[in-house]
Amino acid sequence: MPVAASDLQTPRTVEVTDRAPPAIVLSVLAGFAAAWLASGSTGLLGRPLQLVLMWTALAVAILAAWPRKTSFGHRLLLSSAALFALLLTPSAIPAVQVLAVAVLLAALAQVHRLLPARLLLIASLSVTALGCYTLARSTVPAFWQVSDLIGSLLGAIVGRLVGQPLSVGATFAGLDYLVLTGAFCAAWLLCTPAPRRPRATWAAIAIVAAQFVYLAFLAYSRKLFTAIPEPILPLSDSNHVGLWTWSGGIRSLIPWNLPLLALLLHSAIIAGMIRLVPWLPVVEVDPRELERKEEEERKKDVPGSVIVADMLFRFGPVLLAIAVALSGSLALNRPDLQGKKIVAYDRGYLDWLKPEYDSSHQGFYGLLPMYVASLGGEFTHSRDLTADELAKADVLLAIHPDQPWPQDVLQRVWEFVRRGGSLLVVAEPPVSEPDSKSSFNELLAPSSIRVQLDTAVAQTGGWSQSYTPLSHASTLGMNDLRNPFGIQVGPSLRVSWPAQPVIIGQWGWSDPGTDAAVTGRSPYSTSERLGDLVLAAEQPFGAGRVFVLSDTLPLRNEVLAASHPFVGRLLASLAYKNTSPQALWRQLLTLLSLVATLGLLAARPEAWQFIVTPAALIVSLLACTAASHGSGHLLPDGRSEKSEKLNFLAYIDASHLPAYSSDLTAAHGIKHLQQTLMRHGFLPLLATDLSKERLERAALLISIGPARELTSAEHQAIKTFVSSGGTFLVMVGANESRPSAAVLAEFGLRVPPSPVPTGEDTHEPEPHGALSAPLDSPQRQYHFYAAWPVESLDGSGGKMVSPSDNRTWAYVYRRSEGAGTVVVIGDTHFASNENFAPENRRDNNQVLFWRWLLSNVMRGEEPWSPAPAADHSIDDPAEKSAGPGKQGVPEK
Amino acid sequence: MQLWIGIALLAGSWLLGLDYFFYAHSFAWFATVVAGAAALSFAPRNVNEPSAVIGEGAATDRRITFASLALLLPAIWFAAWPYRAAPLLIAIGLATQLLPYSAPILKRIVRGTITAGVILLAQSLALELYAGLTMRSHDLPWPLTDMLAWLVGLLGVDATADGATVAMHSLRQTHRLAATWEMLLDPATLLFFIGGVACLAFRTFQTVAPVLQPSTARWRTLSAAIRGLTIVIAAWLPLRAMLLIGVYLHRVLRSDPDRPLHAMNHFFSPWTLLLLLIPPVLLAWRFVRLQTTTVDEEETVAPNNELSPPNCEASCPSSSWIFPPSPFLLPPCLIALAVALFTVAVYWNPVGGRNQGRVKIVERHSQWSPTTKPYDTNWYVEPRLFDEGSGYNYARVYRYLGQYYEMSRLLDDDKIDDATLADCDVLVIKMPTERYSPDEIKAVSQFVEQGGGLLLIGDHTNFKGSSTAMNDIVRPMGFIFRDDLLFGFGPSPYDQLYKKPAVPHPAIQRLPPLDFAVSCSIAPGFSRGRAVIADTGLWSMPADYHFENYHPIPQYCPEMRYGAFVQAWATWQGRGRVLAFTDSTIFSNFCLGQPGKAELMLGMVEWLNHRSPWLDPRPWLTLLGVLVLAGAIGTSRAAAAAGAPTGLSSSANGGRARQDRVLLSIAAGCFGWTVASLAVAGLHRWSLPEPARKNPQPLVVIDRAFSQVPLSKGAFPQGKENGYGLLEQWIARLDCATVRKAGNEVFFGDVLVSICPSRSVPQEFRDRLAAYVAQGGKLVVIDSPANVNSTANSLLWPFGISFQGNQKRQGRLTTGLKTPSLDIESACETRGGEAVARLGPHPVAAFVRHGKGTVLAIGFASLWNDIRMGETGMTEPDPATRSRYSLLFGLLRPFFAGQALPPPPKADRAADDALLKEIGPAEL
Repeated sequence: MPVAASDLQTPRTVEVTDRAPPAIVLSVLAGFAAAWLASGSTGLLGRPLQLVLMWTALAVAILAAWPRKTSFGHRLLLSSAALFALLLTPSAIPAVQVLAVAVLLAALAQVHRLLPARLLLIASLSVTALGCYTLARSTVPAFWQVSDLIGSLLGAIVGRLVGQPLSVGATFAGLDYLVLTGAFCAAWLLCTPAPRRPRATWAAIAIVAAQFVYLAFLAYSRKLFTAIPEPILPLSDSNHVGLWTWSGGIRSLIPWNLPLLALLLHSAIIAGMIRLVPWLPVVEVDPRELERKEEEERKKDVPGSVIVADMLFRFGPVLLAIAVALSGSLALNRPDLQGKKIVAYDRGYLDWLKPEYDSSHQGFYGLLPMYVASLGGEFTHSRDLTADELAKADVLLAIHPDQPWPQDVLQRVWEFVRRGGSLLVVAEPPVSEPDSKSSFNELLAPSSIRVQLDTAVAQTGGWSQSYTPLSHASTLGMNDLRNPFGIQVGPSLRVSWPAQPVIIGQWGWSDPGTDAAVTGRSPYSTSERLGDLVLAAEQPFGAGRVFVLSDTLPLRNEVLAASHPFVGRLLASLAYKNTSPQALWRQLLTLLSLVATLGLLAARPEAWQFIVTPAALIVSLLACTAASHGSGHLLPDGRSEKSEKLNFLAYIDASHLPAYSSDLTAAHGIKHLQQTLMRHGFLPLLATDLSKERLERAALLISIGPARELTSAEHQAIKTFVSSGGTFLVMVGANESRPSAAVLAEFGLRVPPSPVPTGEDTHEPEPHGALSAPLDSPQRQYHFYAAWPVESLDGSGGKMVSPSDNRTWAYVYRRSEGAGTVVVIGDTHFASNENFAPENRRDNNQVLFWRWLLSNVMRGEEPWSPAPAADHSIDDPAEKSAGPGKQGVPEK
Repeated sequence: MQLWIGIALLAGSWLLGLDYFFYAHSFAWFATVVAGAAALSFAPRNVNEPSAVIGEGAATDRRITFASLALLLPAIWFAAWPYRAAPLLIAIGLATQLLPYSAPILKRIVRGTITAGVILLAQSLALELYAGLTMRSHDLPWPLTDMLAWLVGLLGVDATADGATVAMHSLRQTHRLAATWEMLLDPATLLFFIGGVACLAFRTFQTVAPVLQPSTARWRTLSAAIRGLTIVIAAWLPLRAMLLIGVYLHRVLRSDPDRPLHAMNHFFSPWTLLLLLIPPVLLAWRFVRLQTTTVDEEETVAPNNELSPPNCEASCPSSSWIFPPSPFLLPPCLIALAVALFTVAVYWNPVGGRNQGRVKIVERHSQWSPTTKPYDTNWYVEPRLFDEGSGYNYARVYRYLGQYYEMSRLLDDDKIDDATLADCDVLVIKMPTERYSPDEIKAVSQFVEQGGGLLLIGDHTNFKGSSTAMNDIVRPMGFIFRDDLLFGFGPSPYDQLYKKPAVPHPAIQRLPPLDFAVSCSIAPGFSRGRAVIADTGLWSMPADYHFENYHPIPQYCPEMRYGAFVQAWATWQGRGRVLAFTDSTIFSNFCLGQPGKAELMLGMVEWLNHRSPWLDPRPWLTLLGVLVLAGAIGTSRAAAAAGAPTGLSSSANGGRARQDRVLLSIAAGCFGWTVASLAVAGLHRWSLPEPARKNPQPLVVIDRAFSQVPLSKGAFPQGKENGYGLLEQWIARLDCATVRKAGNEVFFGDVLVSICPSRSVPQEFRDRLAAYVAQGGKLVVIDSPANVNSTANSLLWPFGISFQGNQKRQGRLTTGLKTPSLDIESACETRGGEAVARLGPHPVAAFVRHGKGTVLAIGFASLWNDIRMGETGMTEPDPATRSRYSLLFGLLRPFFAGQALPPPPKADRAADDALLKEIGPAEL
């Protein structure tokens, strides 16, 4: 174990080598690269790519520093550390990933001796510092604000110096690089011989210069971007094979991956530090001498203060690490809104309708009351927000207020908040029209949050993989791969103390005005704020609090299906006023604990401590996050006595890799299906699991071409769901039918798979392609996207849509099971937006088909038939559109 | 390091030199091969490797070197690029070794080129094997797909294995990424591994100290090194796959949602794959232990091997200067024989005895491409027989085959049973659109069992359910038609030019380069059978069943497979044969005259018109090859033991002798392969000659020697105003066959048609043309003033007829034919011969008799360009267009039949030079 020369007074061996081996330098640099990749410092990278690059860097670090001769124990330690990093780095928490790198570097230090061990230990210390910084940024909103301010200042200074305005936050300012390089530099100065001041000066100059060069490049990024010619891709209607071009590839990196330049520059500086300057000789105690000394010490009386200090250094870091996790990441929430009342202010850019049959109106927020009801809460509207109404309210919801606020109403609102109520303000791109002018900031005047007149434009669609949620009961544990917050295009928020950010949009920019929201097109300019945009913020106010969300989409009818876990958690956290990591005392505690942990680790740098402490922090962080996430697990219940329907909750399975697109408006999206379900009185939600508890609260479960097979527990849950009256509707064509085969077989149904590979004897089904069929008259045709036959395994069951001839199969098959029904449509994309085209008009025949289908298969509903068409003059158009023998006829 | 870099460059060179994933880039290939050989040249030398290789050594060395060179030459001549590089590099190394100089740089070059050649040879074999296996199935077997899905799950992606794909979620869509060998173990990585193994083995053979390092120790060292390399590659592959998938998902994230997704090309970009060899190079360098020494050390080793300059007479006065001593002769001979046996076993397809040639085409269950309605001058589109008009129709191919065989049809009302199939030798099932009943399938199967030949013709993406219907028949035979569509990696995905291999299957041995149209692929699984047509440089998309014809828009999609595919597959059952082909479009009426189409159909039918032999000799040849190879190894050991007679007694020269023996064996193997390949190709030609034309129909040759006008490709004319694809197609409506020919093959037919010739005509050709016409041949030259580089008069010169290129005429055309009159915008005036068409008083078409033959010169070709012919054959022509057709048929029909063309009426002088504007098809 390497120790500092001054630590020991006993005989020692002195190693003369004062230059680091190249392999160890490579290992350190690779470890740093992994840490920067983990912390998201390298710019916009897809999460999987970021992970695999990180693993590659870690693999390089391990292989480069793999000792020539290793004992079994060392191999076991390294393998365990590698496995630990491999299994824990997929976590969505950046700090966990960074700390996992620190653990691995510490493990490498543990198996080395002398200077390599010291170098690796310093590397681990530096990465731990970066991990603590990353953790502080995501758990201590005040720290985030401070770092953001520093980043902004850096950008502004460099922008001023190079004559190009540059507005960035901490991410694009490259503070991560400064933290890691700075930590390493400090340790390097301590471990290299005196005089240190000149080296410190030169190192500081190099670091500042590197940062300046990077930021200067960033400031000129727009010019760089426009200097590279835009590729013209040869696409046509008959050919979508584009050609990748260098110019296109390089343009995609600007400015989003320019931080890689900072990585290269800082790596070069660190490499120079390690290689160009001789290190202090490392001494190593003779093991026999050490053993003898320890024996002597055991016989002596050790003062209590020494023991306490020793204990502090031994166990302090771990205990503090656990304290950090508890104070910074534990936010227990309630899973429902039972007994809570949410009052919505009714003067705003609002529409409380939802899609209805025989109406083309689609509405905005019509489902929100249903959703609140499904969680056990009460949702009311108020135009005046009287004191009486507010007295009974737990949460006041103001969605895009667009009228001037009467002073008395404002007073009542803020009085409500001061008394302990929660105010949720939901903004969207401001409007300024004669009779409608956004008035969020009028309402928010007493607070420190302002809605800016801009549009936060995400570089990735729907802020996918671009969120940085800070610790909050509504966000903890949310994975942003599926855009769980539902934010698309809204203004950014300006937040100043004591308000605190909750959701940050990391990879986007702030486009002034609302043009970007209207046109959907907006080029980035360096004068616009790049990265780290606040999309949601919270401020304690009196006994209550104010929460501002920058986009209304998460509450809108179609998006609510996907964002409901976040919306539910948010409402529950506001209604129950749970303690949050955002409480000031918890922020302080978290920050102090982090500083103390780092201080103790740095004061007595030992490899095992750098393994144990970050590992403990990782494990406790993950446990606290999981506990916080689990505590708010929502289970909406559609069995409402107040509703006309027996049960108004419909689930669309999203947990088995369905064939539909998560992009609502895409060709294979399901926006129109959701609207159709809304018309039928359902609250359609995407199911994130198919647990028995979830399904027993719903009436309808829709499965669309899942790629993942259901587990036996899910089979059982669905069987129970159906037998107790639920309707299970499966849309699957032969191409996607294999994963659904087992669950369909449970109900005696089957969609024969296609293609059937060689070596299988299964009878290949015949494709029927896109075909049209008359609904109730030749004029009213509904369409199959790509139809396949559905078969009954035992011949029983009812054919709902089948060819006119007497085939043994049908396009839509129905089977009753207990009190419920199973319906199988042999067409995966039957409910896709493309198949609903043209637009979802009120007389859309697909909608009529669905109305007919749902009214015939839902328990307790009166079967509905389309009204007869006025004109029967066409003989048999189905024959023309579908071809011989392929027209489907709905059967009653 | 240089060693591994060299191996990696050579591994990557294959992807640049072959149309494997992308089209070949010869300069890049050459550069990588040279760089690879250079890197190997400057790699640290094996510590025990003999360095005295140039201008040194005993005479035996020289004789062995000469023998090796001699044996390599046939392979260099026979092999195609880039395969040729392997024997060529070895030969260059050996030849350099014979130079009377011994500069260190030359020593390095010798070592580098020979090692590079050996590595390339091993890689070429591995690549052929890889292509042969992946074309059967690209998909990873269980549990590799599941493991891949698990790895993707580790990346935080919601992913699962679904069949042969890994389904992965993104906001945009659920991506079903095909889990293929090409993705997990791409050719470059495999070839790097194979190259590494070959190099390690070659270095082991080179070690020179049998006393210090006994044979078992050498093998132990080799096996340890190979084990290390295997572990390195096995560890790298999963990370590599994750890296590729990570990049894919990143590109998906960054893609514009309003544009089609295009994020797959890095999976098969040769440059990406080459770049991805850097990690295994570094890992191999770090972890695979080689016995190497530095350059400085090399020079200290060398003196041990420094021998005197060659002195053949002194060292082997009694033996021949060329032939090595007998102990060295037997092993190479046996190796050559073993390789030859393997080659024959792989390439040879015994043709068997010929049947009577009764061909029956099944119309039952097939609405597509009927043969029943003739391709004539009356029917174009309406009335439609099915969804299409006269283009997608097999009447032409039926007529064409009728020249060689006794043709019949099994019509829709006929049964498919033993009785109806009894009078047939070859049954052609083309594009069934309905499924066969079990009894019908059984009857077809029995027909094959009893010696019949079955030809199945499918099409892309299970079009009209054809693959489903045919798979009912062929699935018991072990293969199926996939429901995919193949595209090429060239500039246009629709371009797929197939060139037959050096030793083709007998069915395609007379096949010129062939353009596929829209082919599906065949999944042979691991059933017995042979690929008749297998090609690389292709990629596939699954059917899009939403579209009417299930034809997807070409796009690099995650479901795509890429690399090698089977497009025609032959197997046998009982005494009969089955041949499955995947592109029905190319035999359609509009396509049959294009290069290779008719030849392919004839070749396939003729192959099927033979019975399989009772005994398949190929497994026995393989077994015999194994035995001979074992004998070669045994005798080689004996020869090694008898190293003393060669005079190479020192340990250093022992290593040198081993290296020479290895190179001699490699050269012998190359020689055996070359000879056997030539023999098999010859045997195929001899045993399956072109069948005789029993009922010949007029054959019209479309000149491609001097005419360069764009013609049709597949279903689509390639030109506009300068294109004559429809003219070519329409000629075939005159009860004749058309074929495009160049060179002396233009005289192959009864009529030669040259459209707007523009290449210079040599005197020799003109003489042959005159002789051809004099002996009864017919020549039609169609020209236009728009053909500014016309060489028509060079063709017409011997016949006393010419175009007046400077006399551009326009006006109303008058002929002696009963056709509607036409206004001509631009025509060449003719001189000489008998006028058959005039513009006013000016003759613009004329014919002349020459010997037994006749010549027709027409000066208004643009009347029949693709624009004026209607641009496509898929729409019913309007009256104006029909009148142009009538004129064409009116002129050519009697001319083809050898009848005199009626002279046009006397011209009206008033109409002379009248300006008539022709403004487009609709107004004519």
